[in-house]
Amino acid sequence: MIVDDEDDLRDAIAFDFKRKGYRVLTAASGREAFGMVEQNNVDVILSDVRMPKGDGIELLDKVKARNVFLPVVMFITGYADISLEEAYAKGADAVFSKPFDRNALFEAVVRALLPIDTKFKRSSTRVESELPVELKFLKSNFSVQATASNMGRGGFFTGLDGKFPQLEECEFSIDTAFTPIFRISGTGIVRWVRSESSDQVFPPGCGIEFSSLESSCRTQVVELINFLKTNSLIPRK
Amino acid sequence: MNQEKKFLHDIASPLTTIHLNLENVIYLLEEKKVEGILDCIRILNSCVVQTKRAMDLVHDHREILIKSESK
Repeated sequence: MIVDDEDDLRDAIAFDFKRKGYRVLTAASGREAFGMVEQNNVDVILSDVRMPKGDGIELLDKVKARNVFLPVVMFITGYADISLEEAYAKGADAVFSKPFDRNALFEAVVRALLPIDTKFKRSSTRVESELPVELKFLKSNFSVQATASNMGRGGFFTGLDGKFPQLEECEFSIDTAFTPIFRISGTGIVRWVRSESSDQVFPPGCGIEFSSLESSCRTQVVELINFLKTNSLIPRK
Repeated sequence: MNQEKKFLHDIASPLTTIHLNLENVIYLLEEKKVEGILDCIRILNSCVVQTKRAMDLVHDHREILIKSESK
């Protein structure tokens, strides 16, 4: 489902997905979209944020209150409508800024539609790490031990001091506190960074989204995600 | 929202629409189907409208900048 109050943009996005064989529903507002969600099996929603008659954030809240896992909601936003960390914490599965790359959007949709146990299948290098969390930033070639404070449906918050660039890829290894204790290893990407000075409410740190999970832990992580039923894709703290 | 942020926000949609539309036209032309021509015309008309909208936004923003600089 594509939700945007601008007819031409909505049609342009819909055209591409229809051409690729997707069944596409469209709506011009958040409220219209939610009505359609209640009456149709919607797998994924691509929504603008700022719209009259029900904005995208209201839509996200309603949709996630109905079912944490479905449909997947992705935001396409202009400037400063919502911060990345806020969007992921509220349950958005991806956020794109206009103008966005068509292929990146399409790939994100394809990935989001994968079953959760399939989604994180990808070959990844095992991280040789110490407990409790080791992060290895691939581009900067920098490793650090930290604490993963909270986990969401698709990533975790770690209280690093915000030095790491957004979109940097990393390898991680986390020892969970859940019983039975197991290690979550895989690759991720830094989706947002919060410095000490940027927020008086939340601690500095960054939100890391899982890109892949090693086969040794994937089943347990999927069970954990299903058990936690958290709204957040990546928690804010 | 300040003027710079508003400008970025406002111009993002028409630019995105134009870009997607032009790519859609290329796809249609590459398919070389006669029935795609009408879609091409419709989409290109949308491009014209959105380009005009982007131009108006640029003009308006320039006026705002000129006025703020002359103060």
